[in-house]
Amino acid sequence: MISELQFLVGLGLAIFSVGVVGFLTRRNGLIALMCLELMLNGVNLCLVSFSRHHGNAEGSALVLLIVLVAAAEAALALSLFVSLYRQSGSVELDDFRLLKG
Amino acid sequence: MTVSPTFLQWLLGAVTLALALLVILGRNPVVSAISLMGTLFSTGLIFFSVGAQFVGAVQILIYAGAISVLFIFVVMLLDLRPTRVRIPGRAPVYVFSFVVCALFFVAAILSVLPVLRNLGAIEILGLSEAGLDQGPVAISMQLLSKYMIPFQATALLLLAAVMGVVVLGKKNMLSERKQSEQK
Repeated sequence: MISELQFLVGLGLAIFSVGVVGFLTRRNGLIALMCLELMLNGVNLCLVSFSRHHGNAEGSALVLLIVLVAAAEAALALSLFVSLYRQSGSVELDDFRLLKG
Repeated sequence: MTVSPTFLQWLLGAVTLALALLVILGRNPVVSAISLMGTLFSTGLIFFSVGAQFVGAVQILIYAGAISVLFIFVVMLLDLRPTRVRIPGRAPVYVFSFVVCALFFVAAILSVLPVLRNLGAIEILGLSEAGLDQGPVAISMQLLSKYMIPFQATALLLLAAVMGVVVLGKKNMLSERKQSEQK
């Protein structure tokens, strides 16, 4: 029988891996951003379960910092995609090859 | 004696993983955004179930409440068409990314396994039962002592993000300035 910590860390790593697969395969910019949030969520789960099993609140403090950074990142990236959509009418990542020679 | 996951945790874990898969498999971005909200919400419930109530509340309020609503808002604002998940001619990319992620998952589990075994030993001593304090007081003691500089840096980060969003949100700032100079 697996312990609670093993279960939670395994679940966190599984969510992270799902996020990586989505980030590599989906070409819609907004869905790629959602996969980024999934990855951060998996890391949060690992941090909280380690924090519980070490018996201190360091992991939980790091989770709060991660949530703040994720909020800033989501707001900036979403406004970036809105202005890209205004310019070109698309958020497909394959449509943006401006820097390709 | 190790603590084994409860039935509720198995259920919440299965729901979380299923919704996470729905995020990357859904054809419609609206479906993805709403299942992202569900994933974040059920992760918050898992946080409740392990005794991290404050972090769970923050997760549900900020992540599931604010960030994913922002996602749903933008997805609906942009009126995106449902896209095909599988694009023909990109099969190597899919195979490659699935293989890479499977390898990553196995490697991560293997690298974490020794740590988990050691922690099992700690559980026998009952140390994890002794200090389960993850309330707001314990977290803010950490944030205001050991993580003081990162905590202050997030204030600057949020300020920079607000300024960046305002600049990006203004319509054609550069061309407007040129027009006003020509006048």
